[in-house]
Formats: sequence, structure tokens, C-alpha cells
Amino acid sequence: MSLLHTQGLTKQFGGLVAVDEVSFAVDSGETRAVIGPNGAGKSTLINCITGALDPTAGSVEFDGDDITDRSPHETVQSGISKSFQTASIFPTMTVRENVQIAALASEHGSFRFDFLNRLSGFDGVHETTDRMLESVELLGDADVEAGSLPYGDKRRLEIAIALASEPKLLLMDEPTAGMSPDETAATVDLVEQLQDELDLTILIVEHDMEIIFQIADRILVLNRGGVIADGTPTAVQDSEAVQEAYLGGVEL
Amino acid sequence: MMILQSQIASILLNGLQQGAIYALLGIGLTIILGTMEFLNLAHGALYLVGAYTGLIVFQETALTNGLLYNSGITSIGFEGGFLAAIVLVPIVGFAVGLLMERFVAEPFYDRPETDQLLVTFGLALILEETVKNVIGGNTFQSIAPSTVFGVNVSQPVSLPLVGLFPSWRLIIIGFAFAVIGLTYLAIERTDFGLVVQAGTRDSEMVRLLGIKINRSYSLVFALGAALAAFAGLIGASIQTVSPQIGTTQALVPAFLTIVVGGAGSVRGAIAGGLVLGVILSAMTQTYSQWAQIVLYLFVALMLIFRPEGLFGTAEVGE
Amino acid sequence: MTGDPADDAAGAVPDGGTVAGETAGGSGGSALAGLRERDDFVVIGMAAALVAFPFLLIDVLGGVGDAVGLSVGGYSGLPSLVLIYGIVVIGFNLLLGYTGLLSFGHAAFFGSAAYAAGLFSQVVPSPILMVVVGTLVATLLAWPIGFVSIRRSGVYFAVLTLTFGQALYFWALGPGSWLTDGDDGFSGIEADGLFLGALPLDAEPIPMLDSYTVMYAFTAVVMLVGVWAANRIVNSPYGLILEALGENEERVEFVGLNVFRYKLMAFMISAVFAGVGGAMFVIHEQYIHPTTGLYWIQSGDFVIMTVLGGTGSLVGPVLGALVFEYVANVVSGVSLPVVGSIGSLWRFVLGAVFVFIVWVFPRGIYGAFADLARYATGGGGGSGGEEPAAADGGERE
Repeated sequence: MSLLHTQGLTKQFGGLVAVDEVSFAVDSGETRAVIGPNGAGKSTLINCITGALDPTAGSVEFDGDDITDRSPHETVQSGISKSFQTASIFPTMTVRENVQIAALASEHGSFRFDFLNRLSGFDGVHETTDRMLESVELLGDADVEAGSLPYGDKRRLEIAIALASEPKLLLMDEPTAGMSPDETAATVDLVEQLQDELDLTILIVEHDMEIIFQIADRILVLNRGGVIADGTPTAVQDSEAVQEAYLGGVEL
Repeated sequence: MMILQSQIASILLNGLQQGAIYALLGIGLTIILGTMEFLNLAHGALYLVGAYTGLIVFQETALTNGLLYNSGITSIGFEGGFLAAIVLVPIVGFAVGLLMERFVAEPFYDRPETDQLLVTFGLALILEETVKNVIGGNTFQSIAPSTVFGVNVSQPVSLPLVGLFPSWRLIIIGFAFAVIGLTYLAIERTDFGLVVQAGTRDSEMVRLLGIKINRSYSLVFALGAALAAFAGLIGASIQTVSPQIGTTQALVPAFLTIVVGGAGSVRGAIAGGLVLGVILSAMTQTYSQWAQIVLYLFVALMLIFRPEGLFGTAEVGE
Repeated sequence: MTGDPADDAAGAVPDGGTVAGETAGGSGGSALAGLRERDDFVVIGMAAALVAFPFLLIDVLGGVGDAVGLSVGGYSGLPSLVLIYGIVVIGFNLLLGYTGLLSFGHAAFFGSAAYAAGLFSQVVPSPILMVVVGTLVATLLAWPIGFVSIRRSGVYFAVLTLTFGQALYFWALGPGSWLTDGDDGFSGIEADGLFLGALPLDAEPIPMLDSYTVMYAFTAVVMLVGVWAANRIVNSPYGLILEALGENEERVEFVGLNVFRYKLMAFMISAVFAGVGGAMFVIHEQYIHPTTGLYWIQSGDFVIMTVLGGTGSLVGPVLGALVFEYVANVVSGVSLPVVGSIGSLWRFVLGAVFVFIVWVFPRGIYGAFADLARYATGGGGGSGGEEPAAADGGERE
């Protein structure tokens, strides 16, 4: 039942242990959150899963395969996609092209020699692109230059790009960072809607506790690289270790 | 046996001189690259400036073509001697560095990498063409001082193992390493050096800490330029001087030095420079046709098997 | 203050509607995409231009020159030479303008193809096969060079390509001179006619129009094929991917594409174009020397031509090649009013214009014409046309 599973995942930078023997699982269809104070190792953990960093020790298993040593593009092709904290888009290309490239990668794999084939002939790609654009309500802006979008739209484009890879697992790295309450609510709605529509499993790194408790099925709490709590929102809320770690921090 | 030993000693000695040049270039490049992340393809042009300035200060040089020649000036130079050159060349380099930083580098700090590369390449081209057209495109003989500090150094000295070795070259090697040593101390022991070191590790952090990095930028750039110019002077004493040396003798080796030594490391630049200098010297004395090629292949291998260089922390070029 | 997010390029020319500022390393947009996608339109348009070209360059300019007393007309080999370099820079721009990789070593592919073609001609004196062989050699060379160089980015990539180019130069001059004739230059090229000598290259088949030689026709055909191929590439998935690489490399990796292999492909494709150019060059000049074919200055010239023409479009660089070769070959020999003869300063002048374009007007000469055309036809502001901007190599956070 677990789609993603890490075992003793460790990442060390010289003397600093950023991720310390983290073992946890994400079940198919659930929304899993990873929280923790600044510097807890959340981003590093995500980077180890996506392949952006090579773990010092431990393993990552996804959908039955060991993906520990896979490069980022291989991981995406395996079915994990990440949406970036700051919208990582292609500014001078059109909104459509931004999503198209992810859809293309999903359809034809990490590399092909098809430099003489017409892009316009890839029907599946175009259909997926339009579908994604519609889900994030950017279809009307499809031919606009991506860099000229307002910031909120850029974030939605970011999510569309991540989704166009047609992942089984979507990693979201602080999707509401820096957003106003309205934008945050809209994003949460979008995420919930997408989850229903696309039958997605989500692993979300977040600081905003309200969101977490609203949408998360289970929460993993990290502090100083190690796991200090792992369970349902209620269980985590009651955990002393968590309360200690967040002393003076965000309200629970 | 004795012959082989003396050959090795000669290779090492020549390697030291060449290595000193590379080290000077590498240090200058690495502190600029590390502190400001400014990609400077004009670093070789500073070497060119140093070489020609040295030539002009050092002796009266006959001209055979170029704008100056065409307007009647048949020779330029001051007969200043080598000491004057040693003093003036770094100063000129420093000044040119300040100008470059202010007028070329600064406007491009926020521009994308490719633009920095292109504009500095253009600048190097313009400088090279200027030299070629004004002073002349021909090749000048290398500098060989006959007296230094009033002492006659034109007589070769008999060294153990090596045999006869021009004494002025020993002196030049001495000067070069003195400068390298001073620079190393300056970076390791002074406050300014600390800023440079911190800057090469994390310039963002240094900026956030409120340290007046902009003034430091100018100084770092000018220092790097002065070192490159000085390297040009040294280079002019062992090799001929012509407009292309900026790229072939300086730019390429400078980058190769920091690839081998490790980006952001002064120690690495020194070590890398010496290693490459000795390799080049060894090849030049044995299979000279292959000298440059072996050098380049060595660096390629370094890149494949040890991308962070000898002393680097992060991978070069990441 | 430094340290601001790299959204605004300081000093960029404000140009209604572009957001992220413009750089010389920029890549093409997709406004004329509809028309450009139709291969036949591109090929026919190009063919028309190619037919008119020698007439304009040699005869028309020559006439103008006669009228004003300056010899500003092109000489008879110039149109072919421009096209030859044009082929090289079209490919080079796929690497620079689209993918955002700046190579200073493409002379290696140009020169190696030239030598290989020249040597091959002594076995089979067929220009067409010479091009095939030369291009193959260049492509084979591009694989290892690209493989090692692409592992590093930015300036290290640039200097590495420069290094490998120089290595080849020194080899040709020294250890390889048994093959290349070293410093004497290689002149034993045995091909002077197409189709087994039936059609001599210097023949002028059209009476009274002696600007049109068989060589030019040959070059024009090769150019057409090159433009067609480049257009297909740009309209294929590669067009999208390479452009994305130039904008945000990290994201391309994170949508699941193998960035390294695509960069290597871009590198090799550009080497193919350089190889074709090199082989054509040796056919045209009947001579090749390490300094013309392999020296870093030649690599630098490719960069200058491409940027001069404008990196934002497919054929813009060809304009850069035209201007470059025209200045180098014609303007340098002319005594202009006011400034006199610029003679050997031509490279200095081109260098200065190059710096100007990088600094202030990255869209290059082609971009300038496109702007003018838009202005003249009453097109509005906004970033229509093909050009806009910022490729910022993806390494900035």
C-alpha cells in the first residue's frame, strides 16, 4: 500500500548531518505532510527523494523500485514530480509551451532523437497540455509570455507544469510560501480539487499549520534532521516532542 | 644518470618559472571569480597589458608596423630597466583593473553569464586589436635584463645538477615567488584577505553581513588585474611578446590552473599553477610538439576523474 | 544594488512589453510560428533571397560603387563565402541562442571537416562526398569534446571548448603535420567539378551574369538544405527543449528530460553545421591552413557573426556573417570618406560593434531590421516578431 518508502535515509554535508536516519512511508492516495522548524532538513529530504542530492546512506523505494541513486530526470520518469517553492518557469516562453514541455517529457521519455519530427504532430501532448491548463484555469492565458503573468498565476503555472508530468506522487515544496490568505485558500482548494480529479498522492512540505491540519492525512515532523513525530494530525498535535520543538514558533 | 638528473633539475627550474606565471594568473582569476562570480574572459588581456608595459618600460623597442610606426615613431620604450618594470607593471595593471571593474564589470554583475562572457570577450578582442594596430602585430623578443640592482646578471650561474642557468632568470623566479608569497599572506592574514576568502565561499552572506563589498569588489578586481599584469611581465621574460599571447599564453592556462587547483582556492591556484608549469616544462624539453596537447589532455582527465580539483570544495563550474 | 533578483537586466534597451530584459544570449519566441512551421514557405522564401543575393551584392553594389567612386561591390567569391559562414552560424546559434551554451571551440569542427574533406578529395574527387565525409569527421570529433566540456557549465564550458580547439590546432601544426602539411597549409584538393567533374565549379552557366557560378549554386543548395533542417529542428520537440534549456536548465531536468544528453545533441548538431561549412570552405578556397581553419580566432569570429546578426532568430546570424565578411573583405580595402581607410582596423571596428550589441542592443542587426519592418508596417508595441529575450542560463536562483 505504500507508494513511497524511505529507509534510514541520511544526508551528511561534511560535519553537518542534515537528514538523520529518516524512515517513513507515503501511502497511495493520501496527502502526507512534512513539517518542522527552519533547518529541520525538510528541503534536503525532498532533494534526496527527487535525486537532486545523493543520500549518504539509506534508501528510497517508489512503487516497488529502488530509486535511491536515480538522477532527477529519471525520478520524474518513474512517476514523482516536484513543484518548486518559487515558481520555476520558462519566462520568455508562452504559458502553453511551459506546460507542453512537461507533457512532452511525460509522453516521450527522457530523451529521443526526434529532432526532425513536427511538434505539432504530438496529439497526446497537446491534449494533456490543454487539460492541465484548464485545471489551473490558465487556458485563457495560454499564449501569453509566462514571465509577464502576475505572481499568483506563475505559482499556478508552476503546479500545472509539475502535474503535466502525469506523476503518481506530487511533491510540493512550500506551495503557499509568501502568499496572502486569499491566495493560500485558493491554492488549497486547487490542490484538493486536483487530488480528486487526478487521483494523486501528495507529499507536501509546509510551514502553514492551518493548511496542514486541513488537508493532511498524516504528518511527519522533523527536527534537526531526525524524525520526532509521525502520525495523524491529532497525534502530532498532542506530541510533547513536537510542542517542544515549536516552542515560540508557529501556533499549532 | 647524471644527465637525466640534470635534465630533471632543469625541467623543475623552468617549471617553477612557468608555474609561477600560471599561479599568478590563477590566483587573480580565482579571487575575482570567487568573490564576484564575474566571468572574465578579459583576464588574458591584462596579461597582455602587463607584457607590453613591461617591454616598453624595460627597453627601447624598435617598431616595424602599426599606427605609431606609420606616423613616424620608429621605436618606443624607456630603457627603464627591469626594476622599473617590476614596480610599474603591477601599478598599471592595478589601474586598468580598477577601470575595467568600474566601467565593464559593474554594469554586468546582474546580467546573465553568457553576457558577461561575451562582453569580456569583446573587450579582450578590442584590446588585442588595439595593441596590434598601434604598436604593431609582430613578435617582440623576450626581455632579458643585464643588470638588476646594479648587479651584472648577464653571466650565467653554475648550478649544481643543472649546469649553467641565466642568473637573471633566477632573480625573476625569486621575484615571482616573492609576490606569490606576499599575496598568499595578504589573503590569509589580513582583514581584507579575510573578506576575500569569505567572499569566495559565500559572497551573498558577506553582503548580508553588511560588509562594504562593493569597495572590496574594486580592490579584488584590481588586485587580480595587477597579478595578471605582473604575470605578463614574467612571461615576457621567457617567451616572445605578440598580441595573441593574452589568449594563448594567459587566458587558457589561467582557467586550466583553477580547474586543476580547484575553484575559489588560492592554495589551489598555486598548486595547480606549479603542476601545470612543470608538466609544460617537461614536455617542452622532451616532446615539445606535444607540449600544449598533453597539458590540455591532463586537464581533461582532471575534469573527468577529480572535478573539484586539488583543493576545491565544490565542483568546478557548478 | 547588487543582490537583487535577476529579473531586470541593467542597461537593457526598454522595448515595450518584454519583462525579463534582453540579453545577447536570448532565444526565439513563437509569433511567426505559423508561417515558419510551413517548411515550404521557409524554403521558398530563402531560395528567393539566395537567387537575388549575388546580383545584389556584386552587381548592384558594384554599380553603386561605380557611381560614388568607391569599390563597394562584392567580389565574385564573396556570396559563396558568406553562405558558407552562414551555414556554420545557423548551427552555432542553435547552441548559443537556443540552448544558451557559448562555445569558443567550433573552429575544431570547421577545420577538421575542411582537412578531412580535402584529404578525401585525393581519393574520390567528389565535392558532394567531400561534404559528407568532412561532416562525419566533425561530428565524430564533437562527441568526445562535447562529452567532456558539457560536464561543466558557463565559463568553464567556454574555456574547455577553446582548449580543445587549440589542442587540435597545435596537433595540426605539429605532430599531425604528416597529414595536414602543418604550417604550409593543405592545398592538394582534387575536386573542381560536381558530378565527377562534369560541372566545373568555376563555370558561369548564365551568360552575362558572371556573378553566378556553379560553386555558388552548389553553396546555395547546401544552404537551403541547412535552413530546411534547422527549421525542422526548431519546430520539433528539440526546438522547445533547447529553448527551455536556455531559460531554466534546472526545471528541464525536473520535468523529466535528460539535460546532459540534450545539451550534447545540441552541441553535436551545431558541429554538423560547422562541419558542412568547413567542407564547403575547403572546396571553395581550395586551400586550408591551421590558422584559418582551427585557430581560436576563427571560433571567436563565429561568435561575433552570430551575435552581430542576432541570436534571437534562426536566420539572423546569417546577416551577421554577411556584415562580418563584407567588412573584412570589402570595407577594409576601401578608402571611406571622412574616416579614410580602416584597413587592418576592421577587426577592431567589428569588435566594438559587437560589444555595443551585447551591451545595448542584443537583438542584433536582424533584430534591428525586424523592428524597423514592424514599425514601418505599423505593427504595435509588445514583443511580437521573433525576438525576445532573456535566456539566463537557468543557473540563477
